[in-house]
Amino acid sequence: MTAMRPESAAVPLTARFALIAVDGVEYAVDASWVRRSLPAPRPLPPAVPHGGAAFKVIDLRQLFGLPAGAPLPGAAGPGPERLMLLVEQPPTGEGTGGDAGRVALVVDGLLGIEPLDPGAAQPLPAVYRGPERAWFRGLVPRPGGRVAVLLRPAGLAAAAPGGNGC
Amino acid sequence: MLSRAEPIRSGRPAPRPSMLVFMLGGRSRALSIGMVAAVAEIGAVTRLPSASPCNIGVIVHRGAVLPLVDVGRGLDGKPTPAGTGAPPVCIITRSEPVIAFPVEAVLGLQALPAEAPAAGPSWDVLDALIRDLTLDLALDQDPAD
Repeated sequence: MTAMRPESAAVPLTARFALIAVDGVEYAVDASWVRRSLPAPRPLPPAVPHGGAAFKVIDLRQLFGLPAGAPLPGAAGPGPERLMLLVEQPPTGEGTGGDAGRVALVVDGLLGIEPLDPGAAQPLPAVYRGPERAWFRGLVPRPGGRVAVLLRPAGLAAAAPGGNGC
Repeated sequence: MLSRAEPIRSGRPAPRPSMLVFMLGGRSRALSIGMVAAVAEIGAVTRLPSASPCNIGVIVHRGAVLPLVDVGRGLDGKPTPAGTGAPPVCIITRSEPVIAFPVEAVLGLQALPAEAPAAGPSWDVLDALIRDLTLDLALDQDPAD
Protein backbone atom coordinates (compact mmCIF):
# COMPACT_ATOMS: atom_id res chain seq x y z
CA MET A 1 0.00 0.00 0.00
CA THR A 2 1.15 3.52 -0.62
CA ALA A 3 1.35 6.12 2.11
CA MET A 4 -1.24 8.86 2.19
CA ARG A 5 0.01 12.00 0.56
CA PRO A 6 -1.55 15.42 1.04
CA GLU A 7 -0.96 16.26 -2.64
CA SER A 8 -2.80 13.15 -3.74
CA ALA A 9 -5.36 15.23 -5.60
CA ALA A 10 -2.63 16.00 -8.14
CA VAL A 11 -1.67 12.36 -8.54
CA PRO A 12 -3.30 10.75 -11.57
CA LEU A 13 -5.99 8.24 -10.71
CA THR A 14 -4.81 4.94 -12.01
CA ALA A 15 -6.64 1.70 -12.41
CA ARG A 16 -5.29 -1.73 -13.00
CA PHE A 17 -5.63 -3.02 -16.52
CA ALA A 18 -5.12 -6.40 -18.07
CA LEU A 19 -2.81 -5.86 -21.02
CA ILE A 20 -3.40 -8.26 -23.85
CA ALA A 21 -1.67 -8.68 -27.19
CA VAL A 22 -3.21 -9.11 -30.60
CA ASP A 23 -0.90 -9.01 -33.62
CA GLY A 24 1.77 -7.18 -31.65
CA VAL A 25 -0.55 -4.40 -30.48
CA GLU A 26 -1.18 -3.86 -26.79
CA TYR A 27 -4.85 -3.70 -25.80
CA ALA A 28 -6.11 -2.99 -22.29
CA VAL A 29 -9.19 -4.08 -20.39
CA ASP A 30 -10.04 -2.88 -16.88
CA ALA A 31 -8.71 -5.72 -14.71
CA SER A 32 -11.73 -5.55 -12.41
CA TRP A 33 -13.86 -6.66 -15.35
CA VAL A 34 -11.83 -9.81 -16.02
CA ARG A 35 -13.45 -12.89 -14.52
CA ARG A 36 -10.90 -15.48 -15.62
CA SER A 37 -8.56 -16.50 -18.39
CA LEU A 38 -8.26 -19.92 -19.96
CA PRO A 39 -6.74 -21.54 -23.05
CA ALA A 40 -8.91 -20.91 -26.08
CA PRO A 41 -10.59 -24.14 -27.21
CA ARG A 42 -10.43 -25.18 -30.85
CA PRO A 43 -12.73 -24.80 -32.62
CA LEU A 44 -14.11 -21.78 -30.85
CA PRO A 45 -17.66 -22.15 -29.54
CA PRO A 46 -20.14 -19.30 -30.02
CA ALA A 47 -20.28 -18.76 -26.27
CA VAL A 48 -18.81 -20.13 -23.06
CA PRO A 49 -20.69 -20.52 -19.78
CA HIS A 50 -19.26 -19.13 -16.57
CA GLY A 51 -20.94 -18.40 -13.24
CA GLY A 52 -24.38 -19.11 -14.63
CA ALA A 53 -24.00 -16.65 -17.50
CA ALA A 54 -22.99 -16.99 -21.15
CA PHE A 55 -19.99 -15.07 -22.46
CA LYS A 56 -20.08 -14.37 -26.19
CA VAL A 57 -16.86 -15.53 -27.84
CA ILE A 58 -15.11 -12.87 -29.92
CA ASP A 59 -11.92 -13.73 -31.76
CA LEU A 60 -10.21 -10.36 -31.92
CA ARG A 61 -8.01 -11.43 -34.83
CA GLN A 62 -11.09 -12.33 -36.82
CA LEU A 63 -12.96 -9.18 -35.82
CA PHE A 64 -9.98 -6.97 -36.68
CA GLY A 65 -9.51 -8.65 -40.05
CA LEU A 66 -6.10 -10.08 -39.17
CA PRO A 67 -4.65 -13.40 -40.31
CA ALA A 68 -5.42 -16.21 -37.90
CA GLY A 69 -2.88 -17.66 -35.56
CA ALA A 70 0.28 -15.71 -36.35
CA PRO A 71 2.90 -16.12 -33.67
CA LEU A 72 3.24 -13.40 -31.06
CA PRO A 73 6.73 -11.90 -30.87
CA GLY A 74 8.01 -12.03 -27.35
CA ALA A 75 5.18 -14.19 -26.05
CA ALA A 76 5.79 -17.52 -24.45
CA GLY A 77 5.12 -20.32 -26.84
CA PRO A 78 4.28 -20.42 -30.50
CA GLY A 79 1.18 -18.96 -32.11
CA PRO A 80 -1.41 -21.69 -32.10
CA GLU A 81 -1.93 -21.60 -28.33
CA ARG A 82 -4.23 -18.65 -27.75
CA LEU A 83 -5.96 -17.35 -24.70
CA MET A 84 -9.56 -16.56 -23.87
CA LEU A 85 -10.33 -13.78 -21.41
CA LEU A 86 -13.78 -13.71 -19.85
CA VAL A 87 -14.72 -10.07 -19.41
CA GLU A 88 -17.81 -8.68 -17.77
CA GLN A 89 -18.23 -4.93 -18.17
CA PRO A 90 -20.49 -3.53 -15.44
CA PRO A 91 -23.49 -1.47 -16.53
CA THR A 92 -22.63 2.19 -17.05
CA GLY A 93 -25.93 3.56 -18.26
CA GLU A 94 -24.69 3.62 -21.87
CA GLY A 95 -26.38 0.40 -22.80
CA THR A 96 -23.39 -1.59 -21.60
CA GLY A 97 -23.39 -4.37 -19.10
CA GLY A 98 -25.74 -7.32 -19.02
CA ASP A 99 -25.37 -9.75 -21.91
CA ALA A 100 -23.78 -7.08 -24.11
CA GLY A 101 -21.05 -6.52 -21.57
CA ARG A 102 -20.15 -10.22 -21.18
CA VAL A 103 -17.59 -11.32 -23.73
CA ALA A 104 -14.91 -13.98 -24.04
CA LEU A 105 -12.07 -12.27 -25.90
CA VAL A 106 -9.76 -14.59 -27.80
CA VAL A 107 -6.31 -13.01 -27.85
CA ASP A 108 -2.71 -13.93 -28.68
CA GLY A 109 -1.52 -13.58 -25.11
CA LEU A 110 -1.77 -11.87 -21.75
CA LEU A 111 1.08 -9.42 -21.21
CA GLY A 112 0.35 -8.66 -17.57
CA ILE A 113 -1.63 -6.54 -15.18
CA GLU A 114 -0.45 -2.94 -14.95
CA PRO A 115 -1.72 0.39 -13.66
CA LEU A 116 -2.82 2.82 -16.35
CA ASP A 117 -4.32 6.27 -16.01
CA PRO A 118 -7.60 6.24 -17.94
CA GLY A 119 -7.62 10.02 -17.61
CA ALA A 120 -4.52 10.10 -19.80
CA ALA A 121 -6.38 8.31 -22.57
CA GLN A 122 -6.66 10.24 -25.79
CA PRO A 123 -9.56 9.83 -28.19
CA LEU A 124 -9.29 7.73 -31.28
CA PRO A 125 -8.11 10.05 -34.09
CA ALA A 126 -10.81 11.22 -36.47
CA VAL A 127 -9.31 9.30 -39.39
CA TYR A 128 -10.64 6.15 -37.75
CA ARG A 129 -14.20 6.41 -39.00
CA GLY A 130 -15.24 2.78 -39.35
CA PRO A 131 -16.58 0.20 -36.91
CA GLU A 132 -13.36 0.57 -34.90
CA ARG A 133 -14.87 3.66 -33.25
CA ALA A 134 -17.18 1.33 -31.33
CA TRP A 135 -14.38 -1.06 -30.36
CA PHE A 136 -11.95 1.33 -28.70
CA ARG A 137 -12.56 3.89 -25.98
CA GLY A 138 -9.19 5.58 -25.97
CA LEU A 139 -5.44 5.42 -26.52
CA VAL A 140 -2.94 5.67 -23.67
CA PRO A 141 0.65 6.66 -24.52
CA ARG A 142 3.19 4.27 -23.02
CA PRO A 143 6.95 4.36 -22.62
CA GLY A 144 8.96 3.88 -25.77
CA GLY A 145 6.37 5.48 -28.03
CA ARG A 146 4.00 2.57 -27.66
CA VAL A 147 0.26 3.01 -27.27
CA ALA A 148 -2.14 0.90 -25.22
CA VAL A 149 -5.58 0.68 -26.77
CA LEU A 150 -8.45 0.69 -24.28
CA LEU A 151 -11.10 -1.79 -25.36
CA ARG A 152 -14.84 -1.24 -25.15
CA PRO A 153 -16.19 -4.78 -24.57
CA ALA A 154 -19.82 -3.89 -25.27
CA GLY A 155 -18.82 -2.32 -28.58
CA LEU A 156 -16.89 -5.45 -29.50
CA ALA A 157 -19.89 -7.62 -28.64
CA ALA A 158 -22.21 -5.50 -30.76
CA ALA A 159 -19.83 -5.62 -33.72
CA ALA A 160 -19.17 -9.34 -33.66
CA PRO A 161 -21.53 -11.46 -35.72
CA GLY A 162 -23.87 -13.65 -33.73
CA GLY A 163 -22.09 -16.78 -32.60
CA ASN A 164 -18.70 -15.91 -34.08
CA GLY A 165 -17.83 -19.61 -34.09
CA CYS A 166 -14.84 -20.56 -36.19
CA MET B 1 16.60 19.32 -38.12
CA LEU B 2 15.57 21.71 -40.83
CA SER B 3 17.55 24.83 -41.37
CA ARG B 4 16.96 27.83 -43.51
CA ALA B 5 19.80 28.63 -45.84
CA GLU B 6 21.27 32.10 -45.75
CA PRO B 7 19.86 34.20 -48.58
CA ILE B 8 22.28 34.75 -51.40
CA ARG B 9 23.69 38.23 -51.10
CA SER B 10 23.05 39.65 -54.55
CA GLY B 11 21.26 42.68 -55.83
CA ARG B 12 17.79 41.25 -55.22
CA PRO B 13 16.82 39.64 -51.97
CA ALA B 14 16.27 35.93 -52.29
CA PRO B 15 12.64 34.92 -51.93
CA ARG B 16 11.81 33.60 -48.50
CA PRO B 17 11.35 29.85 -48.36
CA SER B 18 7.67 29.10 -48.12
CA MET B 19 7.43 25.45 -49.06
CA LEU B 20 8.63 22.25 -47.46
CA VAL B 21 9.67 19.96 -50.29
CA PHE B 22 9.79 16.21 -49.86
CA MET B 23 9.67 12.92 -51.75
CA LEU B 24 6.40 11.04 -51.66
CA GLY B 25 5.42 8.24 -53.99
CA GLY B 26 8.71 8.62 -55.86
CA ARG B 27 7.96 12.24 -56.79
CA SER B 28 8.79 15.64 -55.38
CA ARG B 29 5.89 17.18 -53.49
CA ALA B 30 5.58 20.26 -51.36
CA LEU B 31 3.48 21.69 -48.57
CA SER B 32 3.32 25.32 -47.45
CA ILE B 33 5.36 25.68 -44.30
CA GLY B 34 2.37 27.35 -42.67
CA MET B 35 0.66 23.98 -42.82
CA VAL B 36 3.59 22.11 -41.29
CA ALA B 37 3.85 21.76 -37.53
CA ALA B 38 6.88 19.51 -37.47
CA VAL B 39 9.03 17.01 -39.26
CA ALA B 40 9.69 14.06 -37.03
CA GLU B 41 11.30 10.68 -37.09
CA ILE B 42 8.82 7.86 -37.00
CA GLY B 43 9.37 5.77 -33.93
CA ALA B 44 7.09 3.01 -32.81
CA VAL B 45 3.93 2.65 -34.88
CA THR B 46 0.90 1.08 -33.24
CA ARG B 47 -1.01 -0.56 -36.06
CA LEU B 48 -4.63 -0.15 -35.09
CA PRO B 49 -7.26 -2.08 -36.98
CA SER B 50 -9.04 0.22 -39.38
CA ALA B 51 -11.64 0.05 -42.09
CA SER B 52 -9.48 2.35 -44.21
CA PRO B 53 -6.23 1.09 -45.75
CA CYS B 54 -4.96 4.69 -45.64
CA ASN B 55 -4.67 4.47 -41.85
CA ILE B 56 -1.25 3.01 -41.15
CA GLY B 57 -1.49 3.32 -37.38
CA VAL B 58 -0.81 5.81 -34.63
CA ILE B 59 2.40 7.33 -33.31
CA VAL B 60 3.23 9.31 -30.20
CA HIS B 61 4.72 12.75 -30.81
CA ARG B 62 5.50 14.90 -27.76
CA GLY B 63 2.92 13.02 -25.73
CA ALA B 64 0.15 13.30 -28.29
CA VAL B 65 -1.22 10.28 -30.12
CA LEU B 66 -1.35 11.13 -33.83
CA PRO B 67 -2.71 9.15 -36.75
CA LEU B 68 -0.16 8.12 -39.37
CA VAL B 69 -1.94 8.43 -42.70
CA ASP B 70 -0.78 7.09 -46.04
CA VAL B 71 -1.34 10.27 -48.02
CA GLY B 72 0.52 8.79 -50.98
CA ARG B 73 -2.21 6.20 -51.42
CA GLY B 74 -4.72 9.03 -51.78
CA LEU B 75 -2.59 10.59 -54.53
CA ASP B 76 -2.18 7.74 -56.93
CA GLY B 77 -3.81 4.76 -55.28
CA LYS B 78 -0.52 3.07 -54.53
CA PRO B 79 0.66 2.66 -50.96
CA THR B 80 3.78 4.59 -50.10
CA PRO B 81 6.64 2.55 -48.76
CA ALA B 82 5.22 3.44 -45.36
CA GLY B 83 2.40 1.05 -46.02
CA THR B 84 4.77 -1.82 -46.47
CA GLY B 85 8.01 -0.85 -44.80
CA ALA B 86 9.24 1.66 -42.29
CA PRO B 87 10.19 5.06 -43.63
CA PRO B 88 11.97 7.05 -40.99
CA VAL B 89 10.37 10.47 -41.36
CA CYS B 90 6.89 11.92 -41.26
CA ILE B 91 5.40 15.36 -41.67
CA ILE B 92 3.00 16.52 -38.98
CA THR B 93 0.40 18.98 -40.16
CA ARG B 94 -0.65 22.19 -38.50
CA SER B 95 -4.33 21.49 -38.95
CA GLU B 96 -7.34 20.48 -36.95
CA PRO B 97 -7.36 17.55 -36.67
CA VAL B 98 -3.63 17.01 -36.84
CA ILE B 99 -2.35 14.18 -39.01
CA ALA B 100 1.10 12.78 -39.65
CA PHE B 101 2.10 11.30 -42.97
CA PRO B 102 5.25 9.43 -43.86
CA VAL B 103 7.49 10.61 -46.65
CA GLU B 104 10.45 8.99 -48.32
CA ALA B 105 12.77 11.96 -47.79
CA VAL B 106 12.66 15.62 -46.86
CA LEU B 107 14.41 17.74 -49.48
CA GLY B 108 14.32 21.04 -47.61
CA LEU B 109 12.72 24.45 -47.64
CA GLN B 110 12.32 26.23 -50.93
CA ALA B 111 10.69 29.38 -52.23
CA LEU B 112 7.68 29.26 -54.48
CA PRO B 113 8.62 31.19 -57.63
CA ALA B 114 6.19 34.04 -58.15
CA GLU B 115 6.64 34.27 -61.90
CA ALA B 116 7.59 32.34 -65.01
CA PRO B 117 5.55 29.20 -64.48
CA ALA B 118 7.51 27.46 -67.22
CA ALA B 119 10.58 27.67 -65.05
CA GLY B 120 8.60 27.01 -61.90
CA PRO B 121 8.99 24.22 -59.43
CA SER B 122 8.86 20.65 -60.52
CA TRP B 123 6.96 19.55 -57.46
CA ASP B 124 3.26 19.07 -56.76
CA VAL B 125 1.81 21.25 -54.03
CA LEU B 126 -0.31 19.23 -51.62
CA ASP B 127 -1.89 22.11 -49.69
CA ALA B 128 -5.34 21.55 -51.16
CA LEU B 129 -5.22 17.80 -50.60
CA ILE B 130 -4.25 18.16 -46.93
CA ARG B 131 -6.75 20.96 -46.39
CA ASP B 132 -9.56 18.91 -47.92
CA LEU B 133 -8.61 15.81 -45.96
CA THR B 134 -8.50 17.53 -42.59
CA LEU B 135 -11.64 19.57 -43.30
CA ASP B 136 -13.44 16.36 -44.22
CA LEU B 137 -12.28 14.80 -40.97
CA ALA B 138 -13.25 17.82 -38.92
CA LEU B 139 -16.76 17.86 -40.40
CA ASP B 140 -17.10 14.14 -39.86
CA GLN B 141 -16.03 14.23 -36.22
CA ASP B 142 -18.63 13.07 -33.75
CA PRO B 143 -19.03 15.83 -31.16
CA ALA B 144 -19.68 13.13 -28.55
CA ASP B 145 -16.20 11.66 -29.04
